[in-house]
Amino acid sequence: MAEHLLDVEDLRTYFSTEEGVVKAVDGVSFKVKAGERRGVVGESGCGKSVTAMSIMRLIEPPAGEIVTGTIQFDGRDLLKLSEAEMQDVRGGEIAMIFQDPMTALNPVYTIGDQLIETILLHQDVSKSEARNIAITALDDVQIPYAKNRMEDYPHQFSGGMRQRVMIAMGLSCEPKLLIADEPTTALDVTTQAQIMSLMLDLAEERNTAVLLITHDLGVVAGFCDTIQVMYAGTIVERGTGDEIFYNPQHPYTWGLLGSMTRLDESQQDRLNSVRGAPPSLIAPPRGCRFGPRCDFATDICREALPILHQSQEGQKVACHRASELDLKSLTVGVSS
Amino acid sequence: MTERPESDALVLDAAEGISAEPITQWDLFVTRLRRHRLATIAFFYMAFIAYVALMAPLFTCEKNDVFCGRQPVSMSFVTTVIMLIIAAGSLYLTYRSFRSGLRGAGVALGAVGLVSVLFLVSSWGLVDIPHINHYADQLPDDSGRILVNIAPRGSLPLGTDDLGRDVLSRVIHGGRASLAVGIVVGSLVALLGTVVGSLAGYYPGVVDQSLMRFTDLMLGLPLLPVAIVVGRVLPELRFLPDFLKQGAWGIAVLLGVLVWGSLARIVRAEFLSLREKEFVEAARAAGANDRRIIFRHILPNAISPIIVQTTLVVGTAIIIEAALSFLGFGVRPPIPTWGGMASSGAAIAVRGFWWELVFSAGALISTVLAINFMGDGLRDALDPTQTIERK
Amino acid sequence: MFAYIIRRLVYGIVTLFALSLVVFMLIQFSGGTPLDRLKLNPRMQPVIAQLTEQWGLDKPWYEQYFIWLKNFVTPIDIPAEEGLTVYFGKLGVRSWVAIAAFVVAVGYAIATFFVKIEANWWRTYRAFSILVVGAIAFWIIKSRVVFALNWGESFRGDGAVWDNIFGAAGNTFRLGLTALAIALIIGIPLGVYQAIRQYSFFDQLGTMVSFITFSTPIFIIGVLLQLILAYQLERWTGVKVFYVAGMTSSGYAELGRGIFGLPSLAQLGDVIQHLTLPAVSIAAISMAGYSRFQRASMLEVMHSDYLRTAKAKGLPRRNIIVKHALRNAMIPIVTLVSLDIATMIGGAIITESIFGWPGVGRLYIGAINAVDYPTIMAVVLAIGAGVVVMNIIADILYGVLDPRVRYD
Repeated sequence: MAEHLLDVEDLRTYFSTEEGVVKAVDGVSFKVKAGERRGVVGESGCGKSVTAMSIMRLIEPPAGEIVTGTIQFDGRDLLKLSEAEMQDVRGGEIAMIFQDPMTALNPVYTIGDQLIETILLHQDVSKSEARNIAITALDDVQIPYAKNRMEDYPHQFSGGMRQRVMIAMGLSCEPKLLIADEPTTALDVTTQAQIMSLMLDLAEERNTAVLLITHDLGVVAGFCDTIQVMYAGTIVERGTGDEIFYNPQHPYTWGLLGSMTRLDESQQDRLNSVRGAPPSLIAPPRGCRFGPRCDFATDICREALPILHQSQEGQKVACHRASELDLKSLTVGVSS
Repeated sequence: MTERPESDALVLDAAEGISAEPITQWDLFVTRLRRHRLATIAFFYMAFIAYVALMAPLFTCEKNDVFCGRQPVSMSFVTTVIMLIIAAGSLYLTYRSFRSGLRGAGVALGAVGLVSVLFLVSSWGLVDIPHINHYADQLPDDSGRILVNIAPRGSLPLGTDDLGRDVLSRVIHGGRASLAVGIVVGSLVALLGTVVGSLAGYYPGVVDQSLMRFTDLMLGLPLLPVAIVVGRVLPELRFLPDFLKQGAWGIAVLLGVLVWGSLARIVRAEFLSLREKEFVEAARAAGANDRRIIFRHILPNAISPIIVQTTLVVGTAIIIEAALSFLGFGVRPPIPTWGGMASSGAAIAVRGFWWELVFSAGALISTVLAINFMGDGLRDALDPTQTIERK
Repeated sequence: MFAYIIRRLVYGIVTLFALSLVVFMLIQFSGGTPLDRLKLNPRMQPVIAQLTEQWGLDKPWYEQYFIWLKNFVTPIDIPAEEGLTVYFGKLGVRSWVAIAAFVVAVGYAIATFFVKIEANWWRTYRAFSILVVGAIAFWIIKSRVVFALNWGESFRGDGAVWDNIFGAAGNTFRLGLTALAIALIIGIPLGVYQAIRQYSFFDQLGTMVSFITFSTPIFIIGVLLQLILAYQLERWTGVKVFYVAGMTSSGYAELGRGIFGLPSLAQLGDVIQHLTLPAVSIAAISMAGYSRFQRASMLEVMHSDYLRTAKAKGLPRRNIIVKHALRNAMIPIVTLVSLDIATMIGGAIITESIFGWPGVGRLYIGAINAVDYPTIMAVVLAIGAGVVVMNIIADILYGVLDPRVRYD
């Protein structure tokens, strides 16, 4: 058993389009321990979802391709597995929950059919046992009258209920890792917190590691052990929740925090935002990718791509000026 | 609070590097259309077919003169010159708008409109049968024998048919029927379908219900059997004006009246969704009346499905007209049509005289194919998200 | 659901009524009267007086219309024994199959009435029974009917219109259903394969061929098939592979007899030689349409979120395509095919006249040429009724296949 459950090393996933090669994920490395809750944060298009899809090997050639890298999962390199071996991993050892529960379930099969299908695929049980497991899974995600609702079609469920079904489906085979790609973005604010805590509680009971992908810092703040911030296909900062929230080292993280609305900051008279738009991933800017949008960029930032290194404060950061800048005192977004 | 260096001035810097001129919808449309190679080729092919058919009297032979084509028959010299100038002008404009992405769909539409008008004018020739009769004339050789079933050769590029008529002349003239059908059906369908669909979609309740029931009724008619009956009795109908009885005109009007139903449904569906949109609400809140909302706010947004569907219907109509002529219920001989020529060509092809069949069928297939490619290209260019058609 | 079908049927009847009125008026207003035309036909001389009396040919057109309408919906009395003999004359294999099918269909009807089950096998059974009912309808049409309407005598003097049409309908169905089978068996897998291998050489070739076929009028396909696969093939090989006219050869009866009253192998071969070309020419265009449509709908499903879910669950690719993608992509296709069946019968008009196939289409063309209005009206209305019924069946099938659809 390897030390880490998931060990991604120098992952690069490129897409070829008419305009050129889009470097959606460009040299991402990280490790996740068993049972850890890892948040992945960034703007849309920063490569969060592509990273997740790469781990599941759901990137479809010829449009997209994992160019280099290794993904060690539980001691095996997922990128070297055959398609058949990978099918056992998907759903069985790594489960994934998607953003839009309205379209993620097949409309022409009952949810019972779809749950049982998954269970039969990964567990050596009979059909009636699989049915019982499915009903238990629905009970676990607090769907009332689970037994009766097995025969219902997805369109007979509300969005929140469908996401519960997706969670039940994901966790029914007791995977070691659950990847949740913006699982609550499409839901009502009132159900978001419910679903999130339900999912994480269930994962904790089963000692399942969670990779929570979101653009919502508020969500990761409450639920994750460690957080990594992605920008333009790279990881720019990684640390514990406290480190990231109270002592950001990267100007981008600092900017993101500044753009959060906070109820406890009543005096704050205006919201800050990160100016400009994310760079093109076809021809990323020279040097630091955040450079053109960074208020603190200097010559070195325009020349060399910073690498992720241990900062003095404890977390890892990819910024040339991390040691010089005292972002904490420039309290634009967050005061401590 | 600390200051952030150069705050608002740089907000727009992400937009730098893009040219000062904004990209209009028209530019996007032209770019997408040009990327669709086949559609572009199809456009020019259709323009070619259109001009050839339009100028048919110029290209084809006068009595007994195998080698020529010098004496236009039905049109006066002045008319011909004027039409040539207009045609060349509109072709040039079309070319320009493709080449440089000229702003304003009006230019291309104007060109297309001009061509259509010219067609209608020139197709009038079909009514006037006694004047355009050279395609019905048999070609005798020097010794006065009629040249029947001559294989294609230098002076007769497409050969002659079983009655000794020049196939090239007949193929060129045959296009006039197909194109007249295409244009009349296209205009009728676009007009009827849009009007009925818009009214039904914009005024719910009684208007919608009654119009849609009527549309359902029209869609429920079996097209080909009805078209055959009408085609059969058309020349004998007592109350029709003469020009509708003969030639492609009656058939075209008939088909136009029969096939607008599918477009009406599509337009209605568009209107139903668009009238709930915020920009329509906003216009209504600003005091716009129904007419303004329909014409300024909803119709422009529904224009792409109208164009695409009309194009596809035109292809179908041309095929049906050809089928009617093939069966003998369409345009009556001796006026040539591609369908009619395929019919008589098939009879002699069994004996090895393949050219009449092959060239008329080839002209027909390539024209319909070009129209379908245009429809496909227009669909992609106007609405890149739409992938399939549903009823 | 029941109310919905009734409503659709009512609309359908109104449509048919309007259709009959329009066609009737067209024929009436097209110069002269039916009586003038009848006088030209030597075969009709003896019966003109009787026909005039029966159809009111000397009366104004609207009275004629109502006389026609009244006749059209009036049943003719047929002695019960005679009707039953048509069905059960000899209780051979066919009869037993038909009886079994009937029992299944009645069982289905009773079961739907009393039981509400929402299981997969039940939906399969429902779909299956609809097919069975269709097969029974086909069988009834083939073996004529116990019951007949007073559609009158043909103005061409070739017998009762009802008998002519139902005699020809069997032939048209043989042609149409063969064509449908060819189109489905080739077109659908072609579209699926193209979607799976999107942008491959095969996909692009298939798209191109479909496009060209789709743009080719059916009569050109028919004529080219005749020229190339019948005349030229025979000229080159010296063997008559396909026939270009008729349903069977003149010596068909001498080709031996099979067991249970079924045709012998030689007879079957003869039928296939006659059937292939017309069936293929009808099938070609539908095939192109199906493959294009199937490809598009398959691609849409392949890019859907639920297919991504299926992949993320670890389903094998084959399973994903067959169970998840195909099942969803078939829904719009089933509707298209149901609507197309009616169109195919319309298309058969052209094919039948090219291949001399003694079906409804050729009957129609003959009637049109003679302005034989009882036959014209009957054929138009039969085809119109086919369109109406197939439209309703398409809607019902859509509801059966897609659980999201509810009828209001």
